[in-house]
Amino acid sequence: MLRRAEVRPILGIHPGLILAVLDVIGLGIALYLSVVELGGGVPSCGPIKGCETVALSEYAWINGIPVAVYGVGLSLVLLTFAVAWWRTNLYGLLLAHYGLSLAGVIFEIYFIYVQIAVIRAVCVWCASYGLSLILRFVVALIVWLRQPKPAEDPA
Amino acid sequence: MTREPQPPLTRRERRTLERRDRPIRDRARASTRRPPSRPAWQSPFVLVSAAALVVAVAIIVLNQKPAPTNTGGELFTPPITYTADLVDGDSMGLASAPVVMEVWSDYQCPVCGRLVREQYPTLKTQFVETGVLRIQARDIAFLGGGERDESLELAAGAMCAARQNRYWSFHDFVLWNQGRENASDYSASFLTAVANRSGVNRTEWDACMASDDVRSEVKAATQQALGAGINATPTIALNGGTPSPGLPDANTLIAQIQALAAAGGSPVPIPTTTP
Repeated sequence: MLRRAEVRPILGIHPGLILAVLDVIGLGIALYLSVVELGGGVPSCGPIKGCETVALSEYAWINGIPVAVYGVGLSLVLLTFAVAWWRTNLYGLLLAHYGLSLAGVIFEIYFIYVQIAVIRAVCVWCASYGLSLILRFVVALIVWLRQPKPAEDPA
Repeated sequence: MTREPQPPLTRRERRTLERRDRPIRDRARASTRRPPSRPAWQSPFVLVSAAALVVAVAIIVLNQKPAPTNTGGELFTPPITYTADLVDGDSMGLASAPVVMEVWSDYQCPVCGRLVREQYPTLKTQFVETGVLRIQARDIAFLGGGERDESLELAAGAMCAARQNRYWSFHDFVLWNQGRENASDYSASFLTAVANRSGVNRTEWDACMASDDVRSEVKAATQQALGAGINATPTIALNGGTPSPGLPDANTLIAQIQALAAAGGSPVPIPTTTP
């Protein structure tokens, strides 16, 4: 896992930088939701209703903490992995980014189901974060599949 | 110019050549021998994917909301009682109270339940009973849906209780025994148990619930609230001021009520706090 692997750029850009940009976008969305909900308000939905209903639902909180705060933590860790991989090309960091984003996507699918089937309201901010998370997972998966694996040590 | 064909090798010459070439062939065979392949399930891709799946499922399972323990006939009795002079249908407090607090709520809304359980006892004791505050309930139903709209049924049941001036008992029994959103926790048996504990005349209540007009009233009230921009519960407005969604800070709300009572009732927005 500490081996370095050759990195194939995408459109001339290191894939780690692409992942980092997506992580920053997700971090921004999660930060907004966290600040608003921890401050006692509800996110602004604009013409697309549903944010307030989701934010005030019991499912928007885990152990007394808004789900958005967990999103901030996830995005920070993913961003760290992406930047570290960009700077070091360590194969294990790419694998860690892929695994963590996969776990996030699975939970995000569950949360989308809860919004649609239980709460019966969809938060556009939550959907945007989920979309960024799915996008990050897909990019990490594609990058991982395209990356040449580190060479084995000689016998 | 042609070459003369070489004479065939003798057995000894062939064996000499074989012994000489054998190490080279063995080395060649060794260099082309592939390392033992790892089973597919041991690849990092599969292992990491499996670990991610386990972690995500564990988080989802641990986040499941527990079913309520008080159901049907085992309802928790709210620690609030009402005298006849304080209640009038779905309003609580004197008609002459200088401060009127309108509360839009959905019975499945968990934050609405917190508002009632955490702040209503103090509001009732300090302000309603002293003639300062009147609370006007605005039941709406938009969290429910599907074949049996639980929000609608709960609001209809409360409205039927209101027709017998038993609204607040019904209201409190529901919100002090809240279940999960849209999880069939508010079954018909739950509703009848609440009705029984609220002290309604069951015959009249059943007849009311059997008709559709009370549900139409709830739907109309819901549409009216949505049209006024109220799309979250609880939403509170003091003396007709700007409705504010979310759970209000208890101390701030009390201060606002006191200020309004002292100043004769200018509408102000209500700051909200963490749900």
